Amino acid sequence: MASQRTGSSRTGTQRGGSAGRGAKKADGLDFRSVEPAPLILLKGNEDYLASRALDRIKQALRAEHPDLEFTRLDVSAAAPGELFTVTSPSLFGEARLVLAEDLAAMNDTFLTDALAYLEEKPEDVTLVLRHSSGNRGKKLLDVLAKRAVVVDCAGARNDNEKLDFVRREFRAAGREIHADGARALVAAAGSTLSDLGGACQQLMADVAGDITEEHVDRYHGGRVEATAFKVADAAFEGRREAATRLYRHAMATGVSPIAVTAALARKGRHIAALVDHRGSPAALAATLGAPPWQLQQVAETARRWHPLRAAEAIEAIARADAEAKGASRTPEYAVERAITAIASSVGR
Amino acid sequence: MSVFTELVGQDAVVEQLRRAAGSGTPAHAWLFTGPPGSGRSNAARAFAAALNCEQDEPAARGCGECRTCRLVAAESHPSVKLVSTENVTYKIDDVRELITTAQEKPQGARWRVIVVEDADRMTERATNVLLKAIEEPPPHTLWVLCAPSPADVLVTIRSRCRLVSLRIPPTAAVAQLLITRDGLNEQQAQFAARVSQNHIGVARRLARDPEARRRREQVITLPLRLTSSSAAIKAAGSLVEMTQADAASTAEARLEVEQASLRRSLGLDPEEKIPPKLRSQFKKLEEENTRRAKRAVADSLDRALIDLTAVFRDVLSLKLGTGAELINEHLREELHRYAESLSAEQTLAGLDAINAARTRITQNVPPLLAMEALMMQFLPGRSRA
Ligand SMILES: [Zn+2]
Repeated sequence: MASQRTGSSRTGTQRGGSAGRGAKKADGLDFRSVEPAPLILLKGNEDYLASRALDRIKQALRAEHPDLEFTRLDVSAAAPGELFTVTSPSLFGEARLVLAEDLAAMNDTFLTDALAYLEEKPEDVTLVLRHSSGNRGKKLLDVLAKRAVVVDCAGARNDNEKLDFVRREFRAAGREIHADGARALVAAAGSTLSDLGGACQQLMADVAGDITEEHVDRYHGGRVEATAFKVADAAFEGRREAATRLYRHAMATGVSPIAVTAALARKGRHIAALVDHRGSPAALAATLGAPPWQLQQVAETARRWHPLRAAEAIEAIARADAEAKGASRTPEYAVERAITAIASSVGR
Repeated sequence: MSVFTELVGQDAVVEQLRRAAGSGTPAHAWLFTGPPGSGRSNAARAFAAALNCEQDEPAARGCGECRTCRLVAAESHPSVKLVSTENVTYKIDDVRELITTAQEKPQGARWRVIVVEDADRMTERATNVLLKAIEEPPPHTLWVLCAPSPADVLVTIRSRCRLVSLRIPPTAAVAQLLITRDGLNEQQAQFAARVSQNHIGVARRLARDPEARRRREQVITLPLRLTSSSAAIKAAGSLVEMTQADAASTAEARLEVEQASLRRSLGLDPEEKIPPKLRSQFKKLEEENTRRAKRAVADSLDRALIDLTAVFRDVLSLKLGTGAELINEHLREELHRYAESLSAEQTLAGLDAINAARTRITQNVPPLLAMEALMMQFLPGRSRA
């Protein structure tokens, strides 16, 4: 759509600061420890965590009341009194679980009913409210913040938080995953929390005992991201033949050259930032928005690099990325040339 | 003040437009060309105002005082439509929508004027749709297309348009405008005109906004300051992050305005839930917004790269001892020292690297990667093979 400016004024520029990238502060209970209660608020934008919390609540209730009646209430289209109907004691006295989602989209009817419902404080129903984001119905949210059991359903914003998620998954199940295994898992399956959660469950089910990096590799080695990262690792470590072999294998299994240039760019960024860095690597990691362990991993490699060779490597990656995106008719070859150039620059 | 005041240093063009606006029988299709900063959109706007100005005397049209002139200047005259795409190209649907508008009679004005501020961003298919409209325009409609050069639009369009060629105004003329129109003092005006390389819009922003000046100084002194690979990577990161944060907040503010206006036009209350069948329209708005923010980042980085080009031109002119005034005259000493540390070949390689970064950003290389590659080229002692 073109912007058409008759009768409407353009908005001015606001200066936005950059958000901090530190570890997140938990806003409520871990979903892994939630117990049934009359009022529960699932707070945060990650659907996967909200569904895990709900599953846990449902399971606990079913264990006591096999005839549990579960109702999902669309609060964006709630009719007057609907909330009271679905929460009123049933004829045969079954236990009731009601999920109201999502408060961000609730209509005024629901808002009014919910405020009235909270006045009555019913104790024999489990009402779970989902709130993904926003300030709609501030008054209701304030009351819930005080009275409901609040469950943290905010998603993971960076690799550190994903790593934290993996550790908690294993701890909650009474299992162990090695630190490098957890990192490998985040790199291989961490594109969404639900992928990551699924991968954790699968590993726990399939592997007896502690989980190591090798286990993760065996189960997730074929994943696109992991493959591209391995190419980048080999290239920057100067393992030229391995890098080329891994790259060709990646191409043969349908990985796109662009995924490889992205992995190379990330690795190159970390090497170039470390190569002549003085001061704390942790502070550097914060500046780059990378988890500290990622920089620790490449610190050893960076010692074998010269700043000017790093400059050439990044130049080669930028050129290859442009070529892979259409500037060259042989994108696969363009990227392979960059890989060779990088691998031959180590230690020079 | 006349609407033509802003068109400094373009007397021939002003004369041409005044005469056409007062004639009663202007051509129906116009192509305004000139490099960025030559004031194409300003000229087109001034022309649209003059065409509809309320003064009886034809020679006085474009008075800048009457209601019409002021509405056009505020981009809110109902019969003057200004369009620019914030995407990489126009879509056919955009052009069809314009053509529908073109059929409507002007409201309380002599002419319906449609100004396409970046006609060079029309695809060939979109242009062919437009061509039909230009060939048989309704009697009271004028099309004004703007592009950097005549070669940027298809020859079929070009041949049907009256051409208006703008040029980059001389520094002195831009400085004079900043003094008379914006109330800057001589020194401020000279500085802003020179470092913007005579781009009136950029000059005005630099003159008014200390933050914009500070940012420009930071960017252009990067090649002089970067001494480590680590610093180069960090500099690229903060430059891109700053640009993205700016673009995102501008885009967000604008999205809210557009969502509110879409709600109004669909008859929805501000808080009302969007019915499922209308959701796709809102979704489309959000997608447009994402694309727009992306283009804003590219444009703003491009400006930074133009500023860096100026630094290397200055260095080159110092190396060659041309004695010409520098664009960044206020940094003469620093630039002199920097010039001594570089060979002429290295200076030219610096210019090449900046150009490569500009091209790469248009080729969809992530801005961060393109800027990192560039910043690393500024490291001292680089052997430029
Ligand atoms: Zn007027």
